[in-house]
Amino acid sequence: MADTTLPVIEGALLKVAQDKGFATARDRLEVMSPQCGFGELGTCCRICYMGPCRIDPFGNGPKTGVCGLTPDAMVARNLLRDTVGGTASHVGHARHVLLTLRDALNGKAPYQIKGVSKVMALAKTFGVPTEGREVNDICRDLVNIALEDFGRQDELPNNWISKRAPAEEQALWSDLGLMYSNPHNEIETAMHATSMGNDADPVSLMLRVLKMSLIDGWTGLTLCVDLQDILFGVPEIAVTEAAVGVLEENSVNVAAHGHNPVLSEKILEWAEKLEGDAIAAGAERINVVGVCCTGNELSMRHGVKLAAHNSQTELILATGAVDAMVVDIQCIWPQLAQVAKCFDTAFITTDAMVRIPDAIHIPFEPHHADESAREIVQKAIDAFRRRRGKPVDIPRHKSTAVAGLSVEAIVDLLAKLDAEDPLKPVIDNVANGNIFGFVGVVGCSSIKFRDNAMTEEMVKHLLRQNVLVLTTGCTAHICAQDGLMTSEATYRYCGDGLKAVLEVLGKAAGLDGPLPPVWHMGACVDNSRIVDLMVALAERLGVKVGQLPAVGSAPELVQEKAVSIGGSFLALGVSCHIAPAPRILGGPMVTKLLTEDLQELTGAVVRVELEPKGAADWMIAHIAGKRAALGI
Amino acid sequence: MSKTIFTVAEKCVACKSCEIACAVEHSRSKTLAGAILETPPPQRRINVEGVGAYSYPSRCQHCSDAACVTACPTGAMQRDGCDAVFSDADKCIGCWMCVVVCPFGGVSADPVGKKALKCDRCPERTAKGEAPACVAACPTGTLLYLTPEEFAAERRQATARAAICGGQADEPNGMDILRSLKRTH
Amino acid sequence: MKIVIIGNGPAAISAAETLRARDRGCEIVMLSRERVPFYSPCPLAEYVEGSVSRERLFLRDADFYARNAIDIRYGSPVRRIEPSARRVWSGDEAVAYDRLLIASGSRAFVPPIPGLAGARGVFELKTLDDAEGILRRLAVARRAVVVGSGFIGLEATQALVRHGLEVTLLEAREHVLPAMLDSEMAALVERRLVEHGVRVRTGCAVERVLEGADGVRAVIADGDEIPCELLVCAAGVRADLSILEGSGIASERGILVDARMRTNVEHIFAAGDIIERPDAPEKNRVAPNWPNAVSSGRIAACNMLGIDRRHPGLEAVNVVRVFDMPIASFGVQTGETCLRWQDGAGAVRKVLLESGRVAGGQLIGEINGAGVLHEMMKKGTAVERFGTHLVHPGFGYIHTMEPLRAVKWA
Repeated sequence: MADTTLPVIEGALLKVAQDKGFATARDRLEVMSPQCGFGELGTCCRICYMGPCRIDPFGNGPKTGVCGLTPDAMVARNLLRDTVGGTASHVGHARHVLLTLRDALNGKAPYQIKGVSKVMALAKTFGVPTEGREVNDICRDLVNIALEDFGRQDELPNNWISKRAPAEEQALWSDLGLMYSNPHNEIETAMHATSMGNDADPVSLMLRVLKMSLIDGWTGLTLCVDLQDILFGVPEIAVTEAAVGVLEENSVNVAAHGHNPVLSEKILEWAEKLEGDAIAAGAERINVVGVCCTGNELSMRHGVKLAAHNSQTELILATGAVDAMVVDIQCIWPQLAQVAKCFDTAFITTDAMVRIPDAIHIPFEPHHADESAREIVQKAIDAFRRRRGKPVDIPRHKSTAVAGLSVEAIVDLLAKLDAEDPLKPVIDNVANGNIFGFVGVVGCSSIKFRDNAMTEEMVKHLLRQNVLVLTTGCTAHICAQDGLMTSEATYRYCGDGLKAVLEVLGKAAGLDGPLPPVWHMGACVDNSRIVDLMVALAERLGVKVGQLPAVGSAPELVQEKAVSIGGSFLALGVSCHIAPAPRILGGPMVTKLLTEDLQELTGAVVRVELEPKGAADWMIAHIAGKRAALGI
Repeated sequence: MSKTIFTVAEKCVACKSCEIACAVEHSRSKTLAGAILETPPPQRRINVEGVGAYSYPSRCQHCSDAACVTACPTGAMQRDGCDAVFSDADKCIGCWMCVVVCPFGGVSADPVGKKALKCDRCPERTAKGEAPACVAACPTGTLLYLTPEEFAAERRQATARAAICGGQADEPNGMDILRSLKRTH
Repeated sequence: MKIVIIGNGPAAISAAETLRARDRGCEIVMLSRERVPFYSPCPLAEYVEGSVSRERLFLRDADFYARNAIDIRYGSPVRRIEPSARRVWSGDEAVAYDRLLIASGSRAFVPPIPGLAGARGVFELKTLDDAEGILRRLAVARRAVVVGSGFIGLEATQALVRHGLEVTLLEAREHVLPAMLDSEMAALVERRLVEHGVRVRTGCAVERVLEGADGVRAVIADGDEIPCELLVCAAGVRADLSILEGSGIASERGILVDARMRTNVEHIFAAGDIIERPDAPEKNRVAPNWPNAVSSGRIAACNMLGIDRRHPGLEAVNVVRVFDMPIASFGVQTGETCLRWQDGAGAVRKVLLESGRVAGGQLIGEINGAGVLHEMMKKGTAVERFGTHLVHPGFGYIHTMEPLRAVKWA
């Protein structure tokens, strides 16, 4: 630990907090350490009240729970419950977007359809007639198809996975019993199966983990992103900036934090409408900045600047320059309200599910989106009025970043090279080794790994070996802040092959230099975009997704959502690197299943590496194996 | 020789059961449910410290030439009949001299009760023939309450067993894997 | 063998107890300036405050001296030492010795401020007499001035505040606790004092003390008149070296002793607050505190009996509480590198490093583990490998040990 490579931005932010006497998550983690080995191994079972039961990893003490549950079943049950947590989060988000879209179409919620191209594309996928029909009518049909998924009790296959997922993989999932019907039923079943006296077979439980992950992948992510693109538009390549330096001393700084663009889009809209009020209050303008994944959503669609990833959220409040932080769901630390209290920052919760003591709560629901958004932005202007003239402490670090690389944007770009067969240039360069492979770097930013700049350093190792990095979520923030989404990064970090490809793409995109080597594909929910791209490449090549020279990595896993996303990659046959270790090591059979035997089932394995070089080396070796199998 | 507390550090998984049991033993009610409701809250005298990939339940060493006893200006810090060093809370004025002279960090300052806190080896339990609370609560056999002869004999037997069974006959357990991962971090 | 001990404090008592434990036959004479049995001076402020009773101060029972066959002579200050004749003079009486231990301690330093010395209502807080004088004065005192903000000054301040007095604390240097803390840490202490109603004036020179018919009535400091009925002078302590005159015993700030507590004069030893260790690092040459008194008394006793024992080194660590907020400090106050930790609730810890080794530390609010850091400073442990963990309260001695062997032990 003495030998740290703490990123400069983290260092500068920590200094701001420290100078003001704030304890941060790093301090709280220190106090928490060392953390409980039973928890880390997954062999603490608190599911029933004969427990809590803990298995002695050294074999002298208890070998099973009071009910006789084996350590393997114990870790599998716990992992399934983690996965349910992740899947429930995304499915809940997806349903919220679906109902907003339904209400928008019914004229009950003030949102318009901005993604007409997406409506048309999905209509084709789902066989919805389009000839001579209004966009809203087509869209209504799509909404009904989605609503059917959430309401059916007929055990027929779920519409979204069966129409959106590749056919060959679906056949495998069917054989393994992993196809699902209604996601809500499955969440219920999983909770039921893991409660006391139910499923005690580790293999059965691990298959449930994969099934739950598929629900996350195809309903939680894909359906959600499809509908978000309909409502808010399909992202196009945009240049933005990232890191705390995007805060402006003399503007009303509104930080949108959370995950659901249904809120943040409205905040952005009202920030523009109320700019006059802000100027009247003495501000230069209203500066909406993005935090965490809703920040990614805004940057993808509007080029909104990215202020902070999840583990920096309390730190940017310590600058004293944030006038309002408005949050919706997921990854909202309760600590934020405590830091906000020390300044004039209005910390505003909006969702009934996310209530935090000492926060201002302004209920935000789509029917009254305009009124609520207006009130929230007004609160920010009021806070600015109180803050005006007081000293703030904004570290000036920031980097430019290219965002908005949706699959559609990538294909549009590639079409400039080959209009007939847009994916061909990519395929050719993968075959000739200029692109050695792909790594989807996804997930969170973790206090446990910021000290050694895990994500940044791992990505740099990958780029040197000509691996193209696709990223989302908080790891996208990390890469953006570190300047990895710039043309300079291509020159500085990429191997010659990858550099050459990105130079050609940069020219096609009309950029001054090469395309950046790390592609910002959105929020964590947008991991479906990475999957869509892989599926498209696999179909073009005529192989299964699992055969592609591609790996997933969650180098700084924090949230349960990252567990279920990882599971959805594994089900697709895409191997995953993760750090820290998943809580399964107390179950030797489950450990072997995930790290070795899963290969036989879906073609994927899990690998844990806690330092950047080791992680990159393993992924590169794994990709090399895939390439050899493809004969390239 | 009388029994004392031994620590087999490689078995500690940092579950902190010893910390909770210690606080409960030093509460008025001596039950977890009662202890958490007490004011001031009972305090533990054992502290699980992280050391790289390992952890270690750290407590007073009951030194023979104890710096804390020398340093105590009120006569509170003293030795009991079983050679354990303990602090008489009635005499302690919370000057914290013991805290700052203990080279092991074995005495801590109770911010609420304003008394020095340290392991007293649970005299009420040991008088009844029970092991100290931390030992009784340890689920992995990290903390042992044995005479030095018993402890040496156990270690000899374990070494012999390992030699006869070929030492590394077992597959690495989850804790071994977790630690080897953490060592690279 | 006849052993004479000058003093009746912790060094003297620990020496006497060690002597008696090791040698049942020797004759022990203790010459005490004061007229009360051995008591602990450390809780005197608590005694003034009312949280410690008078009897709690006395750490030995009534027949301690008789039971140990110690000839205790109260009210017998030593005037002169005559090594050539192996005797000391207490008043007009000469007391012969085979071995002599000087453990007469330190005295409060009284700065040369006009009107200060001898004024009624002016006290130090070093002896039981001082404490009882303060307690008596409380009957007429409503306002107090404390001169000096070392730990005695701060303890006196708290005791007086808790008696409901309006207290003004005067410190000549730029911040409080100047010997223990840097200005940033001292500011936290000052805030704590102010929160409890203390008027703190730093960088403030006391010009004179005004006395009226009822004793002290005001202090003039920086041109201001600060009315008070009670004044506590806590401007530091000095080794009491007056008895050395003409004895040939070498001294600087204290009596110079080696690791066996021997002075330069044969058969004469010294222990406790009065000693200075020329072989110890600069910072540790004088460290008047309880643990050093007890340990040096014990070492001196052994060597007086011909049992070879060396002192491992003085504890140069200070600890004080300011309205229940603990403060510990040791070593230097500025270093090449300063590691810092805080909990956001008022606790701040700083560890200062020089050439990759602990050179000092200042801990406020959260002092657990101070002894571990202090021990590493004494040992000169290389600490770079610990990084910032060093300053965290969870850092324990176990970190300093060799890596655990990854042995399998079934």
